[in-house]
Amino acid sequence: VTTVVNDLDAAVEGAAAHLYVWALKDIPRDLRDALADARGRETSVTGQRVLQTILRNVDVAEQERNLVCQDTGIAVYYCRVGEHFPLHPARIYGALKAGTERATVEHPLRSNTVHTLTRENTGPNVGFRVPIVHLDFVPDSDGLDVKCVPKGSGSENMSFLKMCVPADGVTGIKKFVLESVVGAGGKPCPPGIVGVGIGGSADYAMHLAKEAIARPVGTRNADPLVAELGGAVRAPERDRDRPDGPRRRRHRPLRPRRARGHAHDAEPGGRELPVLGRPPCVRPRLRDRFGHVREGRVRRGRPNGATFTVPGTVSVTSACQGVHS
Amino acid sequence: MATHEVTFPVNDPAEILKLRAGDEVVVQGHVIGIRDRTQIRIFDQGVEPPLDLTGAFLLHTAPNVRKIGPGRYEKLCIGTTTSARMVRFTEGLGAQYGVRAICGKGGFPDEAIEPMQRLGMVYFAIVGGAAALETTQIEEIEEVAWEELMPECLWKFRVKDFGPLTVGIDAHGGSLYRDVQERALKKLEDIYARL
Repeated sequence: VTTVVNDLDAAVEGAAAHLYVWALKDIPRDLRDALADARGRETSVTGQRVLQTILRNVDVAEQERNLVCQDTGIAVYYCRVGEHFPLHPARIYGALKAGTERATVEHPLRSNTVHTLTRENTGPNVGFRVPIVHLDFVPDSDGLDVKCVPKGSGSENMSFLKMCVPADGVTGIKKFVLESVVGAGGKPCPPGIVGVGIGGSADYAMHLAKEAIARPVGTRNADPLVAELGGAVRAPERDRDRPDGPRRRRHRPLRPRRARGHAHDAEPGGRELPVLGRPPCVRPRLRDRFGHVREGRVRRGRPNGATFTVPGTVSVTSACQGVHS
Repeated sequence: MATHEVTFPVNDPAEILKLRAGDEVVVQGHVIGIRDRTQIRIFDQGVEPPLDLTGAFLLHTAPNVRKIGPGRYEKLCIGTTTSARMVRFTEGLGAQYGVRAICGKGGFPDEAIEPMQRLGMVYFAIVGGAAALETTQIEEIEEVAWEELMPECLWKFRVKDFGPLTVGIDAHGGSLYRDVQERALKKLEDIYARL
């Protein structure tokens, strides 16, 4: 084992540990904007109270440098591995597992993984096939991009799958989504973000729904036919268009970008995984707040951001044969 | 919708009867943390809880803590978990142990309405995921029992201005969850008609 491989091992481990904790502490700007926007529009007293509490919680977590929620979930990593990246995927997996373990012990974080049948704890957020790692391979690249999406089970339990039939058409898909949202009710932590995957096999449809959840709020599918299915969903109000003028904040908001190259897009662009591309300004912000940006990212190729979402999402999936986008 | 402040444990049943579904409540005093395994031990394995639950406020939680000594823990991040999983213990908690309030996220299904009314209990809804804020309202972890169930032990927290909570189910047969679900299903019919 060469020094380069050892160094990369350590760098990937550091990236995993850093991303896991970062994703648990810092709510992305697009979600903060969507929350503030919703508070402005909410008319019920209880609804306003809830949104106000969520916004206060995000602020408190930032001030106290605390976790947003005590449920640190299962760490899920999405990796884009360049074909010339020197570390074998088996070692990448080992490093991500070691990083998850290190973050759990050092922070410390609650250990959530238990044996499925005995319910005995299996270690510091690691266990059989935990953390969950998705690998995607990129030709003509020597870099590695890692995205961490911690998944709490309160929202995970509100995932639904249905095998639709062609006879029910698109209306059948829409009905299933609506029925799932109402069925989930107040059980997943608010705010509910609905990700929908349509088509493929049962497991792939669910995978697509998870990818959709991690997209910035307000972005639409690149395929107009698919984007239209969502109806007139309102994107978060742009800061400068607010009737009371721009809000004061330390950073310019990260403008939600259209998710690129979804696996279920009509024309996946540039073989990109969705939502991996954050605007470049994530980088200085990461360095400012944590001082060790290199540990958070392992890259020797083209710049691309690491991003995350938070627990508290609803994953609705509809696997529908014959209606493939 | 009224706003109340209630200190737990409560001795006077009137303190619970004055609360109505939809009211806002801020809690003082002591909160007992409890979860699936804790209640399975009490009811399915028949082990008596070592803490007094009379008049208590139970919180569905498995907190994130740091051990600072034998039986001593420091709070890191304390929030709530989904209550619906634990609804079957409601009757026992009220009838055998005199619990007065249960708090968690997501609400209890309709089967909790009748026992809560009969036993003079309430369900408080807390905002799920807002754990950083709740942590600032918990002053101290005073006692921990059944440490081997970590993090699903029996916890005793001292709180200050814990909330805001919403009365989800009251002791008069009122339930926000039933009402909202009924309204949502009605709305769903309208939406289906337009598809």
